[in-house]
Amino acid sequence: MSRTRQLVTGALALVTGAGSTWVASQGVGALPPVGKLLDPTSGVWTAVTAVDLPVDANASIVGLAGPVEIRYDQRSVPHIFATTSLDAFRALGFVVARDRLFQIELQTRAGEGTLTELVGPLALSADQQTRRLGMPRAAERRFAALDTASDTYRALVAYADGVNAYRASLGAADRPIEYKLLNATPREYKPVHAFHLFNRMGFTLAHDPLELDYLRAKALVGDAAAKGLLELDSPVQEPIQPMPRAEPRTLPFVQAPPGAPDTLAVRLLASLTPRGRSTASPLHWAGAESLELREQRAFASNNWAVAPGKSTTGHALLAGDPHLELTLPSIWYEVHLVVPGELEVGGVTIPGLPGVTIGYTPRFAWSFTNTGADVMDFWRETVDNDAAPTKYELDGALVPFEDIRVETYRSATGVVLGVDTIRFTHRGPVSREGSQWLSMRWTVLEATSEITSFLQAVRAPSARAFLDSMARYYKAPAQNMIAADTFGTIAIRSTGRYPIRADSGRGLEILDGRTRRADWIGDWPVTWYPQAENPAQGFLASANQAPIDPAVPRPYLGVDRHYEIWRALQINRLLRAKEKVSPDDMRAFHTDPSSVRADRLVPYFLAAAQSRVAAGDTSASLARAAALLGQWDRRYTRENTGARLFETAFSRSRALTLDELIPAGKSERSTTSSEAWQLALLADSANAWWDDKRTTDRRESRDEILAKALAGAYDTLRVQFGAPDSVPWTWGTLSPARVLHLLRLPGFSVDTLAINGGRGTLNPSAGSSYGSNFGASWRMVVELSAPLRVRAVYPGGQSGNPGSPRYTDRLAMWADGQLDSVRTPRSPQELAPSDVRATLRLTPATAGAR
Amino acid sequence: MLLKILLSVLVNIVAQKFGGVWGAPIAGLLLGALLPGGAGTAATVAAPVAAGGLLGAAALNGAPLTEFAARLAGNFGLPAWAPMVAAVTLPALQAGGAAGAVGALKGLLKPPAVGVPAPK
Repeated sequence: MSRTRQLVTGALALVTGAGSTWVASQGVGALPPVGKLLDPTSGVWTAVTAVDLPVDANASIVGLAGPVEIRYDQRSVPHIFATTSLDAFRALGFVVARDRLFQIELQTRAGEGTLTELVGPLALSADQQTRRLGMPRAAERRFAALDTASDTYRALVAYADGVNAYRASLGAADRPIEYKLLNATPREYKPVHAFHLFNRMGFTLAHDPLELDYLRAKALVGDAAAKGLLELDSPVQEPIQPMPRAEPRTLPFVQAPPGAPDTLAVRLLASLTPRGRSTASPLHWAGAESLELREQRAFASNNWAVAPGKSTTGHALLAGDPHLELTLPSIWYEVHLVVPGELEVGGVTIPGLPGVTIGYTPRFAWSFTNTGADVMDFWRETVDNDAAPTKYELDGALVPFEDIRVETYRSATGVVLGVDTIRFTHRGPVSREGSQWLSMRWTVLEATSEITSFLQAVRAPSARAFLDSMARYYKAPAQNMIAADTFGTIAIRSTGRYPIRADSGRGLEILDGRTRRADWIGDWPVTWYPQAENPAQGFLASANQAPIDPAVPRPYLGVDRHYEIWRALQINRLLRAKEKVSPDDMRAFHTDPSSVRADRLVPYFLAAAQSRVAAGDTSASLARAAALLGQWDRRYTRENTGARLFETAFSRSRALTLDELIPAGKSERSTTSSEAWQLALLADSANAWWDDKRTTDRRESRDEILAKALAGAYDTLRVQFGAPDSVPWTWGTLSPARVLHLLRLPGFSVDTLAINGGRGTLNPSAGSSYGSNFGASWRMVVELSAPLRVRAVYPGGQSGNPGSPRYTDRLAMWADGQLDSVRTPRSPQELAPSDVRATLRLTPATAGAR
Repeated sequence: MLLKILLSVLVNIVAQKFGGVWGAPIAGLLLGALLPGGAGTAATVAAPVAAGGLLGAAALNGAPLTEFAARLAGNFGLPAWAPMVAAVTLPALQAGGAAGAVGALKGLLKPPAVGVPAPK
């Protein structure tokens, strides 16, 4: 070979070898380091080569006071047996990290506003919203205010020690697959991260601010109609605090007709509208997200309890059914902690937060639903310098902002992606909304001892003591807390901080920030909270409905748009229908496919179709749609073929009815009503809201609108899915539940899960064309016997590893509405050897030994 | 050549097992230095065999590699086989390139053969 040829060959080989190694180890541009990723020994394949827990394992944690034994049962639930509570929290941090390390980091970063540092610029708008809401500042201040000698502080540090001990034990090959895909390294978990995560839960459970909705409605239909639309109490009352009656109460429906636009509102709205692309901000909370998606995402948690006298077992029964975004891995991780004489608690924890959020002790069990109270207000601020304000006007003087933070957003490699200056008044964060400066006050930012509440309340001796302990410490986000105990008590209380507005004010107007007179003037005392204990009816239930009947005199708590009535009607109907309720009835209720919503609404559509046909309407679509809807038994079973038509028809009827709320030049309405409002309107056939303003030559009746919606829905679905005679519109196929991976990776998600349930049932977990994937995140039925009998399930599995069979091993059971038996051993020996899947022994380590 | 390839496979298995992403190029460097000729070809053939062997061993132990590869590929809109093919192709390029470059360098550094002058 000539030297020249040798030289060329050598150079080509060098370029090939060095280039491919560079690409393999470092990546190029958007291409990750594929060699590291696909390496046979330490790449992504480890996700399927090390899928189960080692049968016997040992590890050490610095600071552990004594040995801790952890036995995983066959459901992969770790039972932690420790000699001190702090050791139990260290072990808890370790075992949660062992299965969910990536989730801990992702969730805490979401609350901290540093997602870009893990996943890159695509998370910039989410981080901006988090920081502009003042969430990281609130978490840091809360953590800084903690007494370092307090139990809470020590528990947080212990939990962090456990997480970090596991993190430190990991080699590069052992890292969760998401880190490999992102070419990232797990970061240290710090105690303050728990506060970030708690804030994130507050954000998840918050509603869009109604101030903007009210303003939009006023700008389109005038003040009277806007008030009627958004200010009203729910037209059907089945409150959490039960009233002495055997059926729901219907309130008189008074709705002003759509009027002329309110010119002041038009001007204010214009001044608050951002120029250019719509991005999320405190007031424009939803950013560019569609109204339909937000409606589909509506909260749908349920809980209920039955007194011993109404229970087939003679013991109190409790059902928990919190609904959240369905993710893989699940938002929840199931655990059981035993510290003899100190602590005994089981249930579900949120990875990244010490403690059990929903669960049971040997004496009582508890669960939550979201209260939906209005705990967020806005003020228009007058500032000294519109371009770069340093002061704001307050009671006639210019006062400096309480705080000015410069927030820098960085990529994983430290590149600055953006910078924000966030100012804070005494009320809260200030944001630029269009040409205005608005400050915001939100109870979640002023929460104090919520983590303490969970650590303390699980030590209570009874259901009542649990609720009292929670009421002492827990402020936000407000929750309808239900509890039942082995003494036979059932109790519920909507616990949280509810502000009292000045001048009996309500929370719909953007207030004048120039005076303290517009500030909140206090909070509700606990005695005012919606609550009940051992009611005569023998049961209690909450399902995000209005917590208290307006007949009970209380200050403003919230508006109907933030509540939902259907599931409350449904639970109460199911519970009233049975003289005695068994634990298995409670289980079956979770996925009961019947629906008060369909029972109340469908007849209007059928009557409208009949009336239009009688009036000479010869539309074939209407006739076929009416026939199909008439055949439907109004149950959201997987196999039914009528629910899809009804849902589409109802959605279209709302769009046709509320056409007055579509701004000029837009195709989607800018605000909406509650469905309870729509129900009340259906009974008022002459209301002016039925008229379609887009047809100026005639005034439509209710029946015309409903028939038009029904026929239109039929035509739409026939185009989308084919004629129902040849391709039945099967609910489970067209509206499956969607359980998505945390990073929305389709290969690691399950989005075709046929289930019983739909909107208005207790299991509205069905996905939609809008991409919503909220649903039942943890189902639990507890019989308060001694010992407790607990059955539960959540969608997913204990492992966060998509390659593990433990990643989705509970999914089928969840989809079928079944529950698994929860083990509650009080010592390692109480867990039968055949039920032990793995054992982990934790021992104290000296600093530096790990 | 067969012997060279067998040796190359062995070197690659050890290097890739313990060297991670650096295993294949290290094997290539070693083979380029050790083999008298044809190192590039031997390494190019041996590296994917070794990578495939390591993956195959995992599969024999029950790891559902192909099913997982399909899910992994599904995340990025790639065909199901893409991750497996990439997993064996990359080491070939790394090892073959490194071995070829060292082999060529050896050739260049070798003093030119001096011809014996013909008797006059």
